[in-house]
Amino acid sequence: MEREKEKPAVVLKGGAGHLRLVVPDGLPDPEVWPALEKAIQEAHHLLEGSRVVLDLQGRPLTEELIGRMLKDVIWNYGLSILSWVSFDSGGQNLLRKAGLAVGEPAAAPSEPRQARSVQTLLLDRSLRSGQKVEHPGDVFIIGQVNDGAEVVSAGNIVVWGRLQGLVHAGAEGNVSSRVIAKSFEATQVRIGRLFSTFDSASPWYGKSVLFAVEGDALIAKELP
Amino acid sequence: MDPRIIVVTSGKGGVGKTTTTANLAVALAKAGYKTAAVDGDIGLRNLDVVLGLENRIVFNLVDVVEGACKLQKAMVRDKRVENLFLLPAAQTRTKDAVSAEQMLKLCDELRENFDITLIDSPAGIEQGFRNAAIGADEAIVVTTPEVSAVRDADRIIGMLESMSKSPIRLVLNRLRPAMVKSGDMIDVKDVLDILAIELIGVIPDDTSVVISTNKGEPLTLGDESLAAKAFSNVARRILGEEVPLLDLDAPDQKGFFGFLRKALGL
Repeated sequence: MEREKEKPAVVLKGGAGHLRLVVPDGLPDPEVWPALEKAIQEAHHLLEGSRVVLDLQGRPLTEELIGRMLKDVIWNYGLSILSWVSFDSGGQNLLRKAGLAVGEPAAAPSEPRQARSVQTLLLDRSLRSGQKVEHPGDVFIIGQVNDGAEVVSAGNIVVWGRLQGLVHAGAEGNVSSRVIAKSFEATQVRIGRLFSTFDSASPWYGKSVLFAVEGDALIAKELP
Repeated sequence: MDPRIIVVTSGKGGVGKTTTTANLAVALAKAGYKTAAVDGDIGLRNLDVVLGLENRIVFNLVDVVEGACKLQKAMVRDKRVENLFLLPAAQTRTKDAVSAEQMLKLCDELRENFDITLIDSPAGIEQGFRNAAIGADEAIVVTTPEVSAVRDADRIIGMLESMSKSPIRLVLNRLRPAMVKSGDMIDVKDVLDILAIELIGVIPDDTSVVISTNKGEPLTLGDESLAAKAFSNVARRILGEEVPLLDLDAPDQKGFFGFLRKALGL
């Protein structure tokens, strides 16, 4: 009995716009089926009409396991699967070959995905003082961003050149946005609601630098 | 040569637009081209003083665009240099006295009457600058090796580009080679790195410029200074000549040590 209690169970989680059925790695293959059956029966009212992400984590997937999953679980209980998530590369291939959706669902309307669903803006020119670029997605600039120019993006900003002007990544609040500059000479960097100031004495000046948010801090990292 | 209209501008004030306009106008006229120097700074006229023509002004630019007098009547002819004419600004009016359409019409008339027209633009990026630039074909941007001046020049270049002026060329004014060497002044290369336009001349910082400005005698009238030479070279480059940039370190060769260095080939 003690041992049984310690066994990990199949968990149903609520996600943004979908439900997530997580089959933990710690559960041996033969026990996956009763555990799934139990979880689905307990939450059948939740699962009805819902789109489900089937998260198989790192479990090695075989043709047999996938086949049984389809027949005994998905079709048997009438589930509607949004996508299959697996860290097993062989299993991913099997799923892809069968034309099944693999990976995190593309349409989930979480904030970072929203930013990435917009096309990247590729600018093959320099920005002069007084010029400003605003874009709801990632911005990639091949050229300089001069002192007095501004780039505001809801996503990431890459400046493949000298950055002297002001950049604001994740301007709609996405703190997982990054700023990358090939040659960093700016006096201020903004990501989300955080900002940091620099001068020519800073260790990052003139270097290739990546900026990101960690916790409540804006961090800089020199790139090779 | 087709008639050319060139606006001289900078964004920032006090970097030497008027001095540059006056010196280039004199040099171009001396080269045999019928030249008009137009003061586009309505309300704050200066070009007449720098050219030494202030006491001969009767009519001005606003009188011409308002139709109070003919263009020829308002142009002040320089008696020292053949071919040089000044169209002064009005001192008692403001920038609002002239519209963009009026400036375009004035430029058409200048094109019919002069080989080269230089328009001295007011500082700033507002209507005054726009009026000065609207009728021009090309532009000369004046800047000094200072961060603020370079940033403003960058802004103005962006605006000139969007107005389709071409070519847009740079005069780097008031350079001090000794300060650049000691790392206390931005280098020519750094400025060009940022502004990324063609350099048409580097003018050394020289006391002769201040003296000539106050006397109303542009250096290009006949001064021997390095700055005078630099301005003359800019004029020659405007006319399409290939002139190498001056070696601004040359004054070092004056004096005993300079002589010694020269003798030793250093």
